[in-house]
Amino acid sequence: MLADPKGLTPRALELMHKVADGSADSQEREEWAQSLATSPTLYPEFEAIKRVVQQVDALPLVEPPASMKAGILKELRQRRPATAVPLVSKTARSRWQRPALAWAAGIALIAGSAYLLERHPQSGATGVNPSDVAGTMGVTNFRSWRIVETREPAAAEMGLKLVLRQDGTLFAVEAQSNGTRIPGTAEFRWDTLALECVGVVPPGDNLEALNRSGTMRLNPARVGGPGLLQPVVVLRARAGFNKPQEVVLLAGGREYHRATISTK
Amino acid sequence: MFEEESDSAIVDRCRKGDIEAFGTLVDRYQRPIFHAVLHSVWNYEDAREISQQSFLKAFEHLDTFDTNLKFFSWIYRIAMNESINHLRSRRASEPLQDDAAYPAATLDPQAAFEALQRSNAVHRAMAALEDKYRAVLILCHILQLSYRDAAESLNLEEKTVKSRLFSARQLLRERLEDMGHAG
Repeated sequence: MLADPKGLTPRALELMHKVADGSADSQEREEWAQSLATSPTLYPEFEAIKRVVQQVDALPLVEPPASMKAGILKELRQRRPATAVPLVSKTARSRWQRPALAWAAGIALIAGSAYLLERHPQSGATGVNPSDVAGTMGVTNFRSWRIVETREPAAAEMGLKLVLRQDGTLFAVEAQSNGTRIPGTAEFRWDTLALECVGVVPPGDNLEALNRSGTMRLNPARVGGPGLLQPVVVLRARAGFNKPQEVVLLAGGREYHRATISTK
Repeated sequence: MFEEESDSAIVDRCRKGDIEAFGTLVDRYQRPIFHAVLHSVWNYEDAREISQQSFLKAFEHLDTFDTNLKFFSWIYRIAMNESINHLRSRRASEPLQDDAAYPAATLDPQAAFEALQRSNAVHRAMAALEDKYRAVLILCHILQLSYRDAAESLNLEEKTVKSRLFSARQLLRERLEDMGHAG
């Protein structure tokens, strides 16, 4: 709470606001009245807060467009076939089942893999130089987090190992290269509604843009060769989403790895 | 006696593919969601689009919804995330229009202008607040939620909501005084 310039005690401050917004019960109103009686200098403060409450309460309410509901349902019907299809499959799978999204995702994954490999002197170390991580949180020590899943390279000609680490609601997904070059492009993809990107290696990507697209593309020019930087995306599970989520690594035009993130 | 179907029961039907059932949830929550978004982005058309997208996203992600939460709390967070993303992209590209929030005024022109002027001053002051302060003002004043319901919507403790609300009112008062709109 902000410091109160008038020297109100926390209790008096709460009473003042509750009386001003009408949420105080009779006992609290009486208690506030006694406070005012003993400290009349509080009255101007009380009046000022009451005016603010009235001004905000007086903001006009505007009805949503009458067509909004119809528009939502029309869009849903167009997205789904006429026959009811249960929504019980995992989110990621239902997304990829849509041809346009699957196509776009494929392109994105190809781009992503190529970005994975960048020269990085500490790629095998426990920690990572903070200057090599873009992010707003203390994510530079992600290599010390618990490994919850590893996926070995799916094909000898595209040697990408995926490592998933967890620290509470934070998850670091790393693509480790065995030095072979990714044909085409590659990328990480995740659900922006359930997961927030809070850091990436190497730095350079705009986190806001990543959180809008749910895609971290891996620059093809940076892929290939041993001892190169291993790209990482650090994701945080958003509040309210406690179902398992999937992060997909696309490479060479197809799904290469899929890691499951769960806070349970 | 007729009992209103619970949100979680409707969500169950939606998860089985019943699109029409989702219309009931839209009926229940389109007004508060639209109001919350409108007072965040302050543009009628943008608010319509963001609200609509929020419901579509909610439907698409119903399998991730935790039925221990209230549906409103969940879709409110979706809508606020969408609004924040929209504001971030707009700040980089275009200024906010003072009169963009409302469709054509239905009051007489002078009264409409004065009402808009007053509400715009309050809104400009609100827009200058940090997101966390604006959120409690929207929930507790615009949507008229109790402290407890606002706390649930924001995934905060009730005492934190109170603290933020009291601070938000104080900050709003100072900004309105600076703008010459102290009431």
